[in-house]
Amino acid sequence: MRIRRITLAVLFLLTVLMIADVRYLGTDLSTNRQSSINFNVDRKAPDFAVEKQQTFVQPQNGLTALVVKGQLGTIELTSTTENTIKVSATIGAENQEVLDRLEVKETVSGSEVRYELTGQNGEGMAESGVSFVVEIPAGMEASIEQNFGSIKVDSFVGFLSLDSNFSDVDVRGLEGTATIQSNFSDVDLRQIAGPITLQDSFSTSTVELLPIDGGYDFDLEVNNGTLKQNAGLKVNRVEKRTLAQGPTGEGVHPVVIRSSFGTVTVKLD
Amino acid sequence: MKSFLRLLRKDLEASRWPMGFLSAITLGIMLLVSLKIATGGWPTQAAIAAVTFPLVFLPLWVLWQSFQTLRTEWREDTVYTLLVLPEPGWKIMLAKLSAILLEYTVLLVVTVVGMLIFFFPMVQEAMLVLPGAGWVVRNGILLYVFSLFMIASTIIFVQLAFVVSKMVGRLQGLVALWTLLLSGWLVDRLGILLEPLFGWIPTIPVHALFRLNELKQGMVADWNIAPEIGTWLGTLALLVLTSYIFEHYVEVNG
Repeated sequence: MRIRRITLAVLFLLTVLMIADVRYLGTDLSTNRQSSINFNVDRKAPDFAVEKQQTFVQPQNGLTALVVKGQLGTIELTSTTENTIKVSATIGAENQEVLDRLEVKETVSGSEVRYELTGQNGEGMAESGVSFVVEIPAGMEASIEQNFGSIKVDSFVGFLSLDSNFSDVDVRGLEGTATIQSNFSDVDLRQIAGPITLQDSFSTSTVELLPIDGGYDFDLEVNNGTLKQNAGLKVNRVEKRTLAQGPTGEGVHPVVIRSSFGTVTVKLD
Repeated sequence: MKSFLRLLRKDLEASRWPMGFLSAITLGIMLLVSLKIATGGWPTQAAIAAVTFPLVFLPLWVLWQSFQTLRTEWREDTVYTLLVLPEPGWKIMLAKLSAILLEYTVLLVVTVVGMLIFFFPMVQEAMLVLPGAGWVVRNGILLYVFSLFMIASTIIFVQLAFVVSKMVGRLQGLVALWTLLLSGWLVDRLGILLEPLFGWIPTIPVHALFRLNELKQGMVADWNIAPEIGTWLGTLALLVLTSYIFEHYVEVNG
């Protein structure tokens, strides 16, 4: 009789705990655990049958902002000490007829210079693409938009804005400010020193921060995903949200991350 | 070990008729579908349904069988015989679990063999897009091993739910369902709570294990097992708990 009572008591206790869990922690009955399997496929640019190159060299003068729009290719960006903007574009297409129509257009508007592929006549996206190699003076603002390709940023100094869809983003060395928006992408940010805002969905993102004067102020929120961090932040899980906030040092430089259905890893050296 | 094998044999013997019946049904459906396809009555896609049906049915059957093997002991009053045997509860429960896993394996083998016998041309066609027979066999075995663990967990939950339901006089069905729900919630919470303890364990490169690169270059799948370990430990603890309750049940009613 005693064990029956104990069993019933344990069942009752567990029921109370589960109700409290659901009621006060907002857990739904299925699960709110972080997904434990991450699956990715490399997005390799297709090999086009024909290619052509265009090169642009522009003295910086009053230009302070650069915009590059790419697709199905690689955009490589780096900062230099020269006062010249150099853009080398490789356009690829499935056949010569399509390639002849395509060109990269350079547009200067005020203090902004823009490079993007034009001449696409509604053919399938897989039939043409463009890769860029960009060198800009340190301190400039660079905005890059990439679809179905990859972005590689190396030793960048300035203001960086990335918008990536179905792409791989690889940043190695950044002194300045970064604003990154990514969907269905792999974002790998290493040796970052400065404030950063990252918004991602269905992406795998790694942010490796270097120690910096003034320290960082973290504001991390991951919905329906996984958050890993070694910054010593207290992690709270509310319903399907994982939250981590707090400063390191004086907390001068904000690190804001909003992620949905993704995996975010924040490393602080 | 001998006593365990005796218990296992007893459970396997008890389910040989249902097993034989299900195997016959599986092969019968496949034969019928293959004949219909051969005569042009049905499209070749019907073969997919004929193979998928038993595979979908298998987990449901395992669920039912986990419940049924214990229910039969109570219904036929053989539970008292079981409990007077000088065998610990865990051995009895483990024997039942192993028996169901073996039955699952037999039915799976019947399905695969049936597929190879009746739909071999379609299997050959499928092999053209896969890296090779070795790759398929290797990954098939790996998936089978993973499925064994998942099915074993399910059996443990059902066993606990059934045994706990026998602790109450009335509403046993509801108590069983509630226990099933509670145990699922409990091990899930345990996994989350214990995750930081196992954070040091490296992730498992599933893509390397399954050689996914041979299927498509650049596929990467990593499995972070840290949150799973607490769940697995919790499930094992439930097996021990079930065995304990089962072993002491006769005393309760004595």
